[in-house]
Amino acid sequence: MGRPEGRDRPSGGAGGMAEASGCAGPSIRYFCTAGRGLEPFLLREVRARLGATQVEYVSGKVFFTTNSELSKLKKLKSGERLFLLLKKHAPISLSRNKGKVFNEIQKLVIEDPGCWLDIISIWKHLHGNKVEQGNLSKENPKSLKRKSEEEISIIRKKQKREQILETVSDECHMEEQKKSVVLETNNDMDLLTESKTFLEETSESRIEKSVENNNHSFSFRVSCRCSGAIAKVFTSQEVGRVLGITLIKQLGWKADLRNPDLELFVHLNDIYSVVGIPVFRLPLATREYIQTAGLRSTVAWAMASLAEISAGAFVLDPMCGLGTILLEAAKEWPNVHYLGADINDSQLQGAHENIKAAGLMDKIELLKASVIALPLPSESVDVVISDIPFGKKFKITKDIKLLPNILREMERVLHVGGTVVLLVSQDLHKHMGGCISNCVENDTSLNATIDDKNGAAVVKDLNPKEKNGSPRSISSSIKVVETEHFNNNITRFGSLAAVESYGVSLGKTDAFIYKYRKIPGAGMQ
Amino acid sequence: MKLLTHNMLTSHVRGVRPGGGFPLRIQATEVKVNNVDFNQEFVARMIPKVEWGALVEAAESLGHLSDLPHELPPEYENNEDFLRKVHHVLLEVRNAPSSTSTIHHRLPG
Repeated sequence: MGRPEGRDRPSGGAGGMAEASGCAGPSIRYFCTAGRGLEPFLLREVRARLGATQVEYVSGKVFFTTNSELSKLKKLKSGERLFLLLKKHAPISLSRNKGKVFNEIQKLVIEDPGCWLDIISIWKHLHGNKVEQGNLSKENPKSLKRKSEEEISIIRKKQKREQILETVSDECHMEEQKKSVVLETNNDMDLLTESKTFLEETSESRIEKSVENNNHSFSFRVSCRCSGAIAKVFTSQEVGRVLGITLIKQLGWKADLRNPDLELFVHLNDIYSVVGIPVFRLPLATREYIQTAGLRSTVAWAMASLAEISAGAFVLDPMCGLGTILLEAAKEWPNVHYLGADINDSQLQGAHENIKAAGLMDKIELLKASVIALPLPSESVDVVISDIPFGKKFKITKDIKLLPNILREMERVLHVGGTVVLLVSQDLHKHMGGCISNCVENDTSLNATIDDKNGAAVVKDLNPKEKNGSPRSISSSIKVVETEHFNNNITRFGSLAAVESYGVSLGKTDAFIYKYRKIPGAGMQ
Repeated sequence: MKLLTHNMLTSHVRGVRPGGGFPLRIQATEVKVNNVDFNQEFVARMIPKVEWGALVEAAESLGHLSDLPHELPPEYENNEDFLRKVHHVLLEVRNAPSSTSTIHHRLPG
C-alpha cells in the first residue's frame, strides 16, 4: 500500500541507520525542519535511527518523540535543523482587532508558564551527558551565540517565499555561527582539535561559566517567522517583538541578541503555530566531513538511502562532480567499494580533496571517464547513483540527446537486480518523457496533520492530474511517485524499471530523485 | 589506483575481445602501499567479483604478490590469513600516485 509505512523499507545493511535507540532517558518531543520533499526521508530516518514514535509531518517539518541522546540526534542526515518542541497549536485566529490577535500570540508564551521550566530542565538533561564528558559546568543550559545586528528578533525577511528560502537563510546563519565560533577559538587555550564539534563544546562551556556568574537571569532571543495569512497582517519583526516583551515581563528574562542563553524559534502560518528551541547551534545539514559541498548534503544522503547499498557492494557515481553523494554514502555505509568517475579534471580534483579531507581515501576511488563510455565490465556494478548535471552546467537543448546514451551505459554496467538512483533537474524531468515512457505519477499531496495516534497520521489528497511544474500552495505538496505498486503500468527504460520518485527542493530550483531497478530479461533498447 | 579497481577495468577489456583478451599490463612506474583498515567481511564479498588470475598477475607485476595462490582456494570466507593477503593486494597496493587515474577507453562500435 502506498502509505508512508509502505515506503518504510530498510535502506541498506552495512551499519547504516539501524542503530536503534538503546538509551534510556525521558521521551522528548522534537521537531526537525527539512528541505521541501525530504520529509518522507526524515520521517523514515527518525524511526530507523532514533526509534522515534508519534512521528508526523507537515510541509517542511517532521515532529517526533524519542529518548535518544544528543550524539545520536546529531547523526540525523536528512534534516536541516532540530528543535525541542515547546508548543504546537492551531493557527492564530485572525480578527480585525490587532490587539486581540496580539493577545492570542502572547498566549503562546504565557498560558503555561510551567512548560518553560520543563523545557529548560529537559535541555539541561539533554546536554548534561555531553557536558559531563567534557568535564564542564552543567549548571546552565547551552547558550546560543551568534553575531546579529537585528533588534529583538532575527527576522527572516523573505517569509513569503519562506519554503524556498529556508535553506538559504539557514546557510546564512551557519556562516554567522561559524564566525562566532572561530572568534572564540583565539581566546581558548584548551583547544586541541580543529573539529567543529569540539569548538562548539568549548565555546559552550565558556558561555555557561559566564552565565553562572549572572545568577540565573536568563537571556534569550526570539527568531520569528510568519507565513500565510498572518504574514499579511504582521511582520515577523512585530510578532517577535511582542513575544520578546511578553517574556521579559512574564519570566523576568532579558533579551540578548548577540549572546542569548536561549533562542526561541516561533513559526506562525495557516496550519499551525510552533514554538521550539534549537538543539544544536549548527544546522544538521552542515557536515563536518564535507569541505566543499557540491550537491546539498541532505539530498545526497537521501539519494544514497534509497539505493539499497549493502556491505561489499560496488557503488558507482559516473558523474561524481565534487563527490558529495559518495561522501554521504561512504560515511553511512562504510564497507562498500565506491568509485567516482567524472570527465572534468577540476571536478575530480575537487572530489579528491574532499575525499582526502573526509578521510575516506581508502573507501572511494576516482577515475576520469565518460559516463557514456565507462571502462567497466557489463553487469559489474551493484548500484549506480548520480546527480545528472543537465540544466545546471550544460545546455538542456543540446545535451538532452545524450540522456538515452547515459541511461543505456548505466544499464549496461549494472547487475540485474541492481539499483540506479538519479537526481534530475526539473527541466530535464520535463524532457524525460521522451526517452522514458510516461511515468505513472501518483501525485500525493501531503497536508498538515495535527493528529498523532500511532506513527504518522498523514492526510492524503490524491490529485493525479496536478502537473509538476505548477506552483505549490503553502501547504506544499510532496510528490511521491510509486510505480512499484502499479505493475500493469510500469515505467521503464530498457531493463531499468522505475521504482519510485520524489520531488525535492534544491533551494533555488526543484529536482526529482528517480529510483530504477534493473529487471531480468528485458534486454537493451 | 587500487588493484581492485584496476581489476574491474581490465576485465572489461577482456570482455570487449570475446574469446581472446588478456589483462591490461600494468606499467609499474610507481607503486605505493597505503594502510587500509582490514574488514574481513568486505574482502570476502569482493573476491567473487574479481578476476582472480588477472589480480594475481597484476600483483606479481608490481612485486606485491604477497604469497597469493594462483588458484582461488576453496572456503576462503573464514580464512583470515588468506583474506588479509587479499586485502593487502586489493586495497593497499596502488599502481599510481593516489590521485586520479586516467583511462582512455572507447566502447566498441
